[in-house]
Amino acid sequence: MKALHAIAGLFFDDGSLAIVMLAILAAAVLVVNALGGPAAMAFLVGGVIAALLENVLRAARATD
Amino acid sequence: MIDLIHAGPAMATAFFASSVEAVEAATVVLAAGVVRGWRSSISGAVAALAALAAIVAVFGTAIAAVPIAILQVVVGALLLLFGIRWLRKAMLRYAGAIGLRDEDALYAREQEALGASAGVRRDRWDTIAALTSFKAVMLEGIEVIVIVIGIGAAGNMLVPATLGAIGACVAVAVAAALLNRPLSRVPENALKFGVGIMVSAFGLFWFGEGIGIHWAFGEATIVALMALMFAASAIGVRVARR
Repeated sequence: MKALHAIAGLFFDDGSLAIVMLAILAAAVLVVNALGGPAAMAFLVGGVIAALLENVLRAARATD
Repeated sequence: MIDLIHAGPAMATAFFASSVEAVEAATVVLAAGVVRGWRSSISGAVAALAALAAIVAVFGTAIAAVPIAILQVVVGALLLLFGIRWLRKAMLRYAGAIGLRDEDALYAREQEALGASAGVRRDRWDTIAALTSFKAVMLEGIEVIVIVIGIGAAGNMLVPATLGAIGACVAVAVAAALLNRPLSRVPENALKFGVGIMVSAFGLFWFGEGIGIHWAFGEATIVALMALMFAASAIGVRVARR
């Protein structure tokens, strides 16, 4: 159980960021089918960067 | 013959990512060796390397049977989660929100946990030292395998990624053996920041390919994604510092 926890920890550090990332990836699949590749590309890259920045800024403010 | 223009990014990403993991493992192996004896510590590390080789042999063959689109989606998602986790932590460290990793302090803590002052006989077999080294090398080694398979498998770059990882592990092992102390001068946060960007860019690229996105410049897009991630992360650090 500890080993599984350690392996999961390789991918999930902050739970909320991991959930948002997975949601963006799932939504990108829908976007590529509905709107095509260029829209999905912008959604995927923009979404991941926006989610990362939001999480970092929120975490930094929480430690102030 | 490896085409360095195409293999370069995969090899460099695997090298730098693996060097971070190797430094972390080397710190624990050194502490166990100094406090409780080298024979047990190195035996534990070698046993872990053998177990890791077995894992690579099993998964390496199994991966060849997975359809490429599924491989790209799964590997892309895992790489992205892995890279973003490193990038987030490095950004928070640069912003001063969390402390920098201190390899010397970790080494001292590990020594204390292993009973540095307990007068352990270092010439005898020591199961605690062997298990401590085994666990550290195994855990960090699994991260190296994830990186190598993630970067290499989806883009047919397993050989350059593996060479990069092996090069990093050998370089760190030689440096640790020569110095006989933790590699505290390795700029760990800068490496994690850079590697987080590189691995995340690979993850974005492969996941996009897997779901049917056709990137305008093929694999060269990975470099553009790295530049974009770097610019956004640098801005993020500056804003978070305020």
